[in-house]
Amino acid sequence: MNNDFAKESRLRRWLRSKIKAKEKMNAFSWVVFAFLTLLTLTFIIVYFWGIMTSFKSILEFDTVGNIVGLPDQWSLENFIFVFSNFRIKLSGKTFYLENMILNSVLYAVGCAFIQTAVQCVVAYLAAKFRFKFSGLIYWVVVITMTIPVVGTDISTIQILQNIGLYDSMIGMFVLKFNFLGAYFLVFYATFRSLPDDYAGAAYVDGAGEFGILIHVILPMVANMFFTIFLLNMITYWNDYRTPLLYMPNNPTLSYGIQWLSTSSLQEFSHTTVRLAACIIMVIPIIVVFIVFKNRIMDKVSLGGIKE
Amino acid sequence: MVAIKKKKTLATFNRKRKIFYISLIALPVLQFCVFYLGVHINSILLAFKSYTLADEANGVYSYIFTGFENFGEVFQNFAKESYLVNAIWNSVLSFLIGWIGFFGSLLFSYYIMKSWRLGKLFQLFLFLPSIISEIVVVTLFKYFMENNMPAFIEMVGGGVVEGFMFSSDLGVRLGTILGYSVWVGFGTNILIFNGTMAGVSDSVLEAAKLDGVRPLREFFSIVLPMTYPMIVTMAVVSVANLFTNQMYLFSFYGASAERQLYTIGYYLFLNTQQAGNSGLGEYPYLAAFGIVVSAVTIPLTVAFRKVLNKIGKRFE
Repeated sequence: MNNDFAKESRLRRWLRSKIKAKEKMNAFSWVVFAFLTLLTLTFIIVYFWGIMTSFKSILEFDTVGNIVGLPDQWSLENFIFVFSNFRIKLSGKTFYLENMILNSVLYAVGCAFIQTAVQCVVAYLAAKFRFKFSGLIYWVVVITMTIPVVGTDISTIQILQNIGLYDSMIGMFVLKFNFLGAYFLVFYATFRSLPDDYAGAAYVDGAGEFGILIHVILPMVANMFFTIFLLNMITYWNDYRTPLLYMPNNPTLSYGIQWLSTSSLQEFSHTTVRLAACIIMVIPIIVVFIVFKNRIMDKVSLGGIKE
Repeated sequence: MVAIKKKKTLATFNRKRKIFYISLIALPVLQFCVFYLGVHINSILLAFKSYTLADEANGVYSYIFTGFENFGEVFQNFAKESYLVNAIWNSVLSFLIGWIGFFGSLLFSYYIMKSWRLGKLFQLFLFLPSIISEIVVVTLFKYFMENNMPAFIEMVGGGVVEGFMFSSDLGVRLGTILGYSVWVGFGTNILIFNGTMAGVSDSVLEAAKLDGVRPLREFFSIVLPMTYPMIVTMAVVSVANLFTNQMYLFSFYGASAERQLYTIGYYLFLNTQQAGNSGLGEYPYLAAFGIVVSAVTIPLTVAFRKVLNKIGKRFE
């Protein structure tokens, strides 16, 4: 039996290798290739120009007018300027770069962890506890995803103000303590596909429901949990609109860059300085991306395949 | 006796499960009740109120019901302010332009799925704008188009041209922003499309290959129909975002975008952000505006989904 299976696998592998070998570039793929090459080149040119410009001195860029070419001298003055001078004054309080970075870390890590954990746990309850309420939870998520209600931000702001959570990090954590969204469905599908045997065996061994969740279920979805946490974290690190709306006087780094890039203050109006600030903001995300590239790039799918 | 004991054990088991279930689900459900149901109900109520001087003697302002006054104001503004009508067209234009990116993403995902030349490298560069903050990519693009492009055109003998982002010609500015939308739009959905296309059964593709099916036919007749549920989901989401789409205006211009460039999403976001900082009086108008926009978007999204599902039945 095993022999037959192994033979079949070998046959499939051979067949696939034959087909792959035949899969040469044709006219269609060459056209797409040409377009993709051009598109990628534009990305490379824009990114490279941005990095290069951030290393030019203000004098070289603004006065000498070296806009297109390589820097005469690769200078760190813009980065030093951003680190030592970048600050925002909001409601009489001054926020320096380190305050914004701290706010960004708290906002990105805190919100990502809270939201991923809540979605994971609620999806587990909805998938594995066959109560009527579980079905309701599932449909609530599906319906809220498909009905686009616009303009409720102002109502959210009012409610946050009424309960004293407006303009605070705690308020953001409370806002993100929700189970709605596509990742709930990803967790839900995963929990539905998990066999009940493991939890059953743990129960026979005397484990309680909480023990089963912590020691049996969560380790089984730990990889997925971490991937979704990473994706959420990147989203929140980059997000400036939500902090701008709900905690306008606690700027994150992203919020700060947005403020900087449209600020009319003379000292921050230089292109080189603004680009250097952008590079500083991108570095942590690029590091995360490089470390977890395969995990991020290979794990996302939605909607499934038609059988 | 044994049966009773078994029944008791089962009852205890079920009770424990219920306690566990309730204790874990209570807080998320409470959060949902306050920040979803509560927010939506409050939004509807706000739309029928006005923030007016309730106690003249003590100068106390409060919200009082004023019927459809705010809705009247919304419609009056649409009739009076040409930039709001223009904002609808800009939203629709941005939505339609978004489809170029959508189809491009599908095609490029197929290219990557086939592991054709440099596929992984293309995937990386297309995906980068999704990893890097929107404000950073926009800032890079903004100064590239504003400083580098005119300098480059002049350098190659194309004459003196003004920057594209702050051009005096509104058409140039709009064109540049739409160009940016297409440029980054190619990579927006590429990870999801790739992930789903990777799930297309090898045996189906192999069988098609043996039958002599060519790549273009394979893309349109096998890959697209097999990934149709995902395409529907993403397409419906794009329709749902029709009037929340800001066309990156806040990232490009902050609060000072030219009015003729406004989209409905930008108008709503800008006013909400400003009202949050200052005016309680603006809340009811914005709530009414949101309801009017939702009244258009919800049926549109539902109808669009139905049409796509009908089309999908042909593939079954």
